[in-house]
Amino acid sequence: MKETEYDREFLVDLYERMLLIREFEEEVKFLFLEGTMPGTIHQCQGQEAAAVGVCSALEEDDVITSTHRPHGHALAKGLTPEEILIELFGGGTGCCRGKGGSMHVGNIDKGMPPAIAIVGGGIPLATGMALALKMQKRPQVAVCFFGDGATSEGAFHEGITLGAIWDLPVIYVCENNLYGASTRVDEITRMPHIAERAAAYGIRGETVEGNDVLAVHEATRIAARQCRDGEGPVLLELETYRLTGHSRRDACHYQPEEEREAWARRDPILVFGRALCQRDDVEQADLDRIRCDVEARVAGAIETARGEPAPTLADLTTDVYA
Amino acid sequence: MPDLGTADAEIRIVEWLVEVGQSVARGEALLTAETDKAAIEIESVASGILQEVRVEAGDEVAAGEVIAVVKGEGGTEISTESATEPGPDTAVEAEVPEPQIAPAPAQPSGPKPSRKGMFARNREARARRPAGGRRHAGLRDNQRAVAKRLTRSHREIVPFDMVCRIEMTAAARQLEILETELQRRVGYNPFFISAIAGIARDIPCFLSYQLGDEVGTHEQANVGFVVGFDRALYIPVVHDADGKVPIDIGREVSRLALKAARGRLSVEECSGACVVVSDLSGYPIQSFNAVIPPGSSAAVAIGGVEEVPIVKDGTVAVVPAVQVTLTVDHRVVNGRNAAMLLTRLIESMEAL
Ligand SMILES: Cc1ncc(C[n+]2csc(CCOP(=O)(O)OP(=O)(O)O)c2C)c(N)n1
Ligand SMILES: [Mg+2]
Repeated sequence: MKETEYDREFLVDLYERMLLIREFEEEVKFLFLEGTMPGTIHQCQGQEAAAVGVCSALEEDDVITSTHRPHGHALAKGLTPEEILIELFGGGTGCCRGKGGSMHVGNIDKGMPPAIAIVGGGIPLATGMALALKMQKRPQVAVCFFGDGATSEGAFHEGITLGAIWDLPVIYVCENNLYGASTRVDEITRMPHIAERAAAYGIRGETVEGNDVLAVHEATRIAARQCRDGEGPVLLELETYRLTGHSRRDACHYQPEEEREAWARRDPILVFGRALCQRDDVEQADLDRIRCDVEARVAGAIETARGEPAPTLADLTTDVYA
Repeated sequence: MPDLGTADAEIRIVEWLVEVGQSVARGEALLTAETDKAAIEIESVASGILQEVRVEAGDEVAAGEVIAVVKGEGGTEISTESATEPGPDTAVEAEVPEPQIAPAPAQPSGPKPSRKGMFARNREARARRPAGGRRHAGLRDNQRAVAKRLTRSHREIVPFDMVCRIEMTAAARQLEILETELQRRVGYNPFFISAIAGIARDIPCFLSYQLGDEVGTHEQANVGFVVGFDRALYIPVVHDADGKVPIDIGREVSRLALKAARGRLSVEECSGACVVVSDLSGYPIQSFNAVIPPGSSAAVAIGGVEEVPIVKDGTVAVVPAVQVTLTVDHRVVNGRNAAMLLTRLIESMEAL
């Protein structure tokens, strides 16, 4: 069993971080249903292994760009539940001072500029960041998260073309969750795998079981090494599934029931938890304890976040660049 | 009621999935509601006993209204009461009391920091808006969509009508067999859909349509049928109906009609009709003209079944019959083709 090749602490950490994302998203869902959380929200239940697998293979000062579905990426990159939740509530001490909201969470000090909700919009930006890193001869890599829907945007072609001809240290990570909003991926491309598109740009592409956090971690580790050695970019396709609506207002009728059930059985947290319990040094009780800790942590963060005051009129022009 | 719509429209309660007095768990589906976009299942935000339901199926409510009260199991008396009896000033934003999160750590009690809920703010803003603003557009999305399509049809399509009478003796016999087999009432739609699909396949102008300046062709003989409710109208489509037998079409018709009643039809299920059928044969009306939806070539309107005297082999007989009005878009179908369709339709229906 592969899980035995890693040390316990690392694996438990992966588990805890995935669970943190799940718990965070579930609680936010209830806040939305209660009417206390403003705006609509794009959530990532089911895709936790992608965010955690990728970010666990990066260094703290590597940079990522995210999308309209950014909570998981942000938590995986080390943002705290508090700074994100305050942002979601529009509080002035949120990670974007309450001016970004759900679709723009990020913290540049933690290697995550505010998420970019324009589909495909992060691709040229991550490419630009990678160009800066290369020109400054720095060892970091840029990682660009985007969805299957983004691969038909012009920005995908333009960004990857530049990344490729300039040999930039950037990993393009496509979370292929089979749908862009309600449109199935096979309605927008003839290619069975998005990773195959890498060939058109002369870069390496790889399709990875995106619900297997260790597989994602390994693929990213190798890709990051390649980028740091000057052999980037790399296109990773993580096959995954969103176990929730596209946004909170989406009833998700387009996901066939059998498909949803089949993917629910491949829930990344469930599968990894089961694999962990195969080890001699991990028991179900350990996982239960982690769950309690995570629940308490998120509950505490919500309490904190609810109390933060919104920005005032005097803050109108601070932290705004354009 | 969570803020699930995308427009400023009311949300209609479709069905309560839990009965008053029953227990419900946090995250369990509590009701279905229909927003401007789709029917959606709404999860309970608290665990407990469903104590009271304040709106019935069919009612329309605004986001933020209290629609039910759940009495918490683990909750203290205070939290339950404060939520069931909100003070006059409390923004009522949750449909249920503050959930008790199970092994949560001891939390600082005392009053919640005051943060006016979004719904309360929205409601105030709405109240301030001058009357006659957006609110008057209380049309549900279905109605809005129907209105838009009808207007477009009226503006663009050049209708041309033709009427015939069809004897229904054979069809009535077949309908009885079909409905016994299906154990459901489906009406004459399956027979008309089956016949029309076959005819449209042979007279290809019925597969074409004109939208603006664009002329297109459907690849399959898809036939839609009109399903009307008090405040909604749908035209679900039996795709590739040519070659399907009436019993299979009957099953599909009944499935689609049920989904329509629940507001659960997908866009695909309502798209691609070449010809649509509107069956009012159960009503005492003689005949009517149906509107052709944009994207279709024709509409077939079936009037009420009547006993009529007809001349058969030189003698007068009384038989059940309907008047069928075919309306075609004259830009794509000419009179001769319309007459051919009706001729074939009479033949098929009378020889069932
Ligand atoms: C350029 C652009 N077009 C459309 C939208 C509206 N939109 C938001 S998310 C989304 C679907 C994106 O699908 P995908 O890239 O697969 O990401 P996923 O939602 O599956 O995570 C769309 C169309 C947008 N934000 N930006
Ligand atoms: Mg997608």
